[in-house]
Amino acid sequence: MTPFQGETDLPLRDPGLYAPSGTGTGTGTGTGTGTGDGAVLLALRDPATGTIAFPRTAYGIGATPAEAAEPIQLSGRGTVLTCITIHQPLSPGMAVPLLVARLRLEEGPVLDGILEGTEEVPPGTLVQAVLVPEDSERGPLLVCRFRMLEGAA
Amino acid sequence: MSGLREMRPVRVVGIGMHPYQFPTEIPYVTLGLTALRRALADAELDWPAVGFAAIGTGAIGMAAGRVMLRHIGSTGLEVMQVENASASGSSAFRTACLMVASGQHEVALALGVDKFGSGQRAAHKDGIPRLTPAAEIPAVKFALMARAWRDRYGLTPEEMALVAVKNHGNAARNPYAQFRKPRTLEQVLNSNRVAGDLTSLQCTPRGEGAAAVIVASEEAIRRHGLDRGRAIRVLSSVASSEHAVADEGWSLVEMVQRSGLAALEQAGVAMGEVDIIELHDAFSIEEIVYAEALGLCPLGQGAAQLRAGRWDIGGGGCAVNPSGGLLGMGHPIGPTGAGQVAEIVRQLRGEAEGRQHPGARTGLAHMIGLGSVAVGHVLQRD
Repeated sequence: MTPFQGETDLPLRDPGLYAPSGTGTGTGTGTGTGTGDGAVLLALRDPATGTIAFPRTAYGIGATPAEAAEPIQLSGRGTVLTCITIHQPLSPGMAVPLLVARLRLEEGPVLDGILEGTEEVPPGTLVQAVLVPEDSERGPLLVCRFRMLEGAA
Repeated sequence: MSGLREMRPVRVVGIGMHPYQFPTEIPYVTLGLTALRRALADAELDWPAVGFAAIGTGAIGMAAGRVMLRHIGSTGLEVMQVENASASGSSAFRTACLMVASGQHEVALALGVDKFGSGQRAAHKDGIPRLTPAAEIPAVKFALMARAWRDRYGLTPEEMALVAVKNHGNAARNPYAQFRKPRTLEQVLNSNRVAGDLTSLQCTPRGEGAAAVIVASEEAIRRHGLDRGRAIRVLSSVASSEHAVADEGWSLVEMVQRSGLAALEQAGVAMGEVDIIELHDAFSIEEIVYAEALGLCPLGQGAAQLRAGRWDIGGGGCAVNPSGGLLGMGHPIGPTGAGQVAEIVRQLRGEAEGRQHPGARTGLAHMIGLGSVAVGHVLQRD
């Protein structure tokens, strides 16, 4: 486990995507005010169909316009479906090696996220979204990574 | 909804290529006109006979057609630019076919041409942040697919690399291909690791080039005295995009299956009758996954087919990517789909010198593009 080093006042790199756990409705206000390093993901739910869309967009979900959709928080817990290592920097500034996983969140959506560390994990591994500090051109920011839950190999 | 077989017959009467190559300073006009003049010469047709031109390009910019075509003659023809990501050339060909089939035009040109571009994509402009910088990078998407197939079906990195060995071998025999060297399994596996189990020789190169295909009605073939014996019938043309499916994000595979089978059904052809497939192998894993999805072999049996050489030219089965595919021939975007059609026409005519698949009569050109979209055509000689 990577200890959270207390940088709770760092800004989030993508406040529209995630928030620290325990920040109420998760509207993405952009500051790290959580009590730990856990993160929730900010999504929309279509009240008519129950469909969950991540990330939130201004474009709505199917026939439902965004203003009629319900902002919700996803737990950030999920299961690894597939995990690989990126060996070459495939976009400007990409630091390698980088672990990328396709995940199924416990609420259902499937997404690609970055795992902590450099050791690939097998399918079925349980992970949790966390906020970790990372240097950027804008200075240090909190970014979302997925961490293997203890005992979940 | 009527398919191409229920409309006016459409035949390919001329093909021409500018070889695919690594990026140069050569203007795209030179690339495109080289392919076009070769296609006109192949058809033994004069330029003023062409009434419609669909220009497939991803990176050149607005009005690529007129800026190029004015140098071969401003004849007043209808010109349309088609951008459909990797399927731009395929969509240009489909548009040309439909123009003839519907009676709008008697002779139509599909010309794919591209220079290596900036890589700008609409997905970078939708205002939606991504959780990972790897999102929307094709090499990552297909490395994840490769690992999923490894986990699910036991497909090994060595088996996947056999696709690149075969296709680089085919490309070495194709004068229009970007890569002209055969590669061993060891060379493929030992090339630079890119993402997951994909190595650099299992990823399509950056490049440029052009491919031209001229289609005509039966009436135009008679009127212009074209060689009907070399004219290849286009039996079907289909295009679609992804459906949402609840399968770990692999809706792409379902799209390939659905569109490929629709192309065969519209053509009235069974997969067992197909002698040649040109398909989107920008990454080695794709050939195995799509060939299985198209029904060339049962799910999970692609590796065995490769090991047995069944997808080779002259391997006793359906030759897959005899041109060398995107891995070996190259993938300059705009031309790629038109280039697939040109290769199939060459094979069905029996004119693919040095790489001819024996007895080839029916071919499937299947292309996908970012988004994802799919375009499929079945061609057959009489």
